[in-house]
Amino acid sequence: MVGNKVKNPIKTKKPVKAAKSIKIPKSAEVPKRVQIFDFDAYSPSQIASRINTVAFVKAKYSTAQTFWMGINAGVYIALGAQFATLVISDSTLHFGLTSLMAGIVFSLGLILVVVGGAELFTGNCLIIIGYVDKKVTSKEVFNNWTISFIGNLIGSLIVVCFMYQSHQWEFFHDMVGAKALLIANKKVNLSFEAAFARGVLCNSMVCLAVWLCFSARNVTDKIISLVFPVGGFIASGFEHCVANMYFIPMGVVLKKNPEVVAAAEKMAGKTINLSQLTWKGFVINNQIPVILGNVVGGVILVGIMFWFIYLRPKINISFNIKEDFPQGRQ
Amino acid sequence: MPDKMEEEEITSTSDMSIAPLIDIDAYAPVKMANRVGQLGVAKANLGFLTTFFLSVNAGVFIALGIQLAMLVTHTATSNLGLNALVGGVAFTMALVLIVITGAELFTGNCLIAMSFFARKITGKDLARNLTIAFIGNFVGALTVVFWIYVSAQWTTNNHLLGAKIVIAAIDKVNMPFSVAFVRGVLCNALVCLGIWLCFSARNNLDKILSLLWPIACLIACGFEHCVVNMWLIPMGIILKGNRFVIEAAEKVHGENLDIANLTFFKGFLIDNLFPVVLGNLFGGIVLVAGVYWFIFLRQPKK
Repeated sequence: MVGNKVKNPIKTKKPVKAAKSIKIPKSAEVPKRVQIFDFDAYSPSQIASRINTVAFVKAKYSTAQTFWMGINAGVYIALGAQFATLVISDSTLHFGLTSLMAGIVFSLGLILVVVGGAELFTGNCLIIIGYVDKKVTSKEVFNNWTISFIGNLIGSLIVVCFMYQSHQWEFFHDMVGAKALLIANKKVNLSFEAAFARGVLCNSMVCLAVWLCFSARNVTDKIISLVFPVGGFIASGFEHCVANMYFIPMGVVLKKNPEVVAAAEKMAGKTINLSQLTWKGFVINNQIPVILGNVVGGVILVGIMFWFIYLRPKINISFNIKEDFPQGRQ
Repeated sequence: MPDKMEEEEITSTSDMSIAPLIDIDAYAPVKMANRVGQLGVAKANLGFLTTFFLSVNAGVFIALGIQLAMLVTHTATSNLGLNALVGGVAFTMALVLIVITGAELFTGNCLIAMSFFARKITGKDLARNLTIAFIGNFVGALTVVFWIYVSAQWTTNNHLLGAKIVIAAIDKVNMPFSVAFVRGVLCNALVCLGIWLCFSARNNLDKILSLLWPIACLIACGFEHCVVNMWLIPMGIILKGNRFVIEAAEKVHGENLDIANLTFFKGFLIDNLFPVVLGNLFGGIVLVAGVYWFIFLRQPKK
C-alpha cells in the first residue's frame, strides 16, 4: 500500500507564525501532552460492538422488566405524539414547515426512551445484531419483541385514555381534536404497499437515530443526534407502529364527538369519510403492513446491514485512527 | 523560512510550561490534517465489500436527506430564501448520519486525496475508493427512489410534493455545462469543508454544529451535489409519467413545462451528472484537499 519511496510518517510544519512566539531553551523540560482518557465520540466500529453488548444485556432482562419498560416506551412515544398534534393543530405556516415542526416536537418521545431507558419495539429491532452474532438465541429475541410490543400497546392506550379524559382535545375550539382526527383518518386510508414502504423507511430512520445515540458521550450529544432522523421521519410522513398506537386509537375515540368532526370538516374544507376509522381499520389497514415494514427496515436494512459491515467474522477494520496509526508530529 | 521555524516552537498557548497533562481541546488544524491523512490510509485499505456497503449507506442517507428537504420546502410560496434555509438545515440530517456512522460518500471521500498528495496511498488506491463509493452511492440512492415511489409519499398534499420534485429535476437537467460544473465545484468545496471541520470535533455536538453551516449553505444556495442528483433526477424521471403530478407541476410552474430533456441517458447522465461529477472532483480534491495538504502536510524542501 505505502510505497517504499516514503519512509517517514506524515510530518508537518507549522507555517503560521504566531504573533507572540517564544523561544524555548533546550534544557527546559516541557511536559508532553498525553491522552489518558478518551473523550472523543465513539467511532463507527465501536458503536457496533457497543450495540452488540447492549443487545445481549437487553435479551437477558426478565419478562417483568421488559414488560414494564415496554409500557414506559409506549407512554413516552404517545406523549411525543400528542405534543406534536397540539403544536401543529392550528398552524398557518405552509405544509412543509408544519410537518418539520411536528417532527422536531415529536423527538420528545425518543429522547425520553433513549435517555430515560425503555424498551421500544421499533428500536429493539437492533437486537437482531446480537442474534446474528450468536450472542442471543432466537427465543430471547422473539420474547423481547413480543413482550415489548404488548407493553408499548398498553402504554399507548393508557395515554389515549388519559388524554381523552383530560379534554385537551377541546383546546383552540376543538382544533386539537380535529387535527388528531384528520391525522388518524389519513393513516387508516393508506394502501397496503404504501403503508409497508413507509414503515420500512420509518424504522430505518428510527434505528439510525438509536445508532447515532450509541456514538454519544453525553446527553446533549444524544439529543442533538436524535432530532435530525426522528424529526425527519415524522416530517416525511413515514409510519411508526408505536406512534400509530396513539394516533389512530385517539382518532377512533374522538370520532364519536360531533363537535370534533364538525371542526375537522371545517379544517379540511370538505366533508371527510370516516368509515375506515375503526378498530378494525386500525389493525388491518395500518398496523399489519406497518409492523411488517418496521421489522424489514429495522432488522434487515439497518441491523443486518451494519452487522455485515462492522461485525461479520473474518473482518478486521477499525476507524479508530488513534489506535492503529502512529500520530504525526504534534 | 522552514529552517528558522525549527528553532522556534510556536504554540497557541503563550506559555508551554502550563500545558495540561490531559488534552481534551478540539483538534488544531495541523492535527486535523494528520488525522485526515491517517483516515485516508485506513479507508484506502478497507476491503471491497465493506467499502461498497458503506457507500450504499451513504447514498441512502443522502437520498433520505434530500427527500426531507423537498418535503419541507415544497409548499413555500413566499419567503423563498428562508424556506431554502430550512430545507438546507433539514438536509444536514444526511451528513450527520454519514459522519457519525462512518459511511463512504463519494464527495466527502475526495478528502482522501490528502493522503495521496502526501504519498501515503497510490493514485490507484484513491481511484479505487472513489469508484466504489460512486457506484455504491448510486445503488443506495436508487434503492430509496424505489422505496419512496412505493410509499406514495409523492402524492402528499395533492401531488404538490411530486410536482416540486419534477420541477427541481427539470431545472437540473437543463443547465449549461459551465453552470453545472461551477455549481459542482462550489458544492463539494462546502461538503469537504464541512467534513474537514468534523475532524476537529471531539463529540457529536461538535460534529453536528460544524456540519450545519456548510451543508445548509450548499443546499440552500442550490449548488449541485452529484449524489443528491442521483436521487432527485431519477425520481423526477419516474414521476413525469404520472398525469396528476404533471398537472400539479404545470399549475405551480405557471406555464407549460418542458419535460423533453428529463431522460435517463441524455438529460441525467450527460447533461447533469457528468459536469457535476467533474466539478465535485475539482472542488474536493484540488480546492480543499490540495490546499490543506499544501498548507499543513507538505514536506519541506531540503
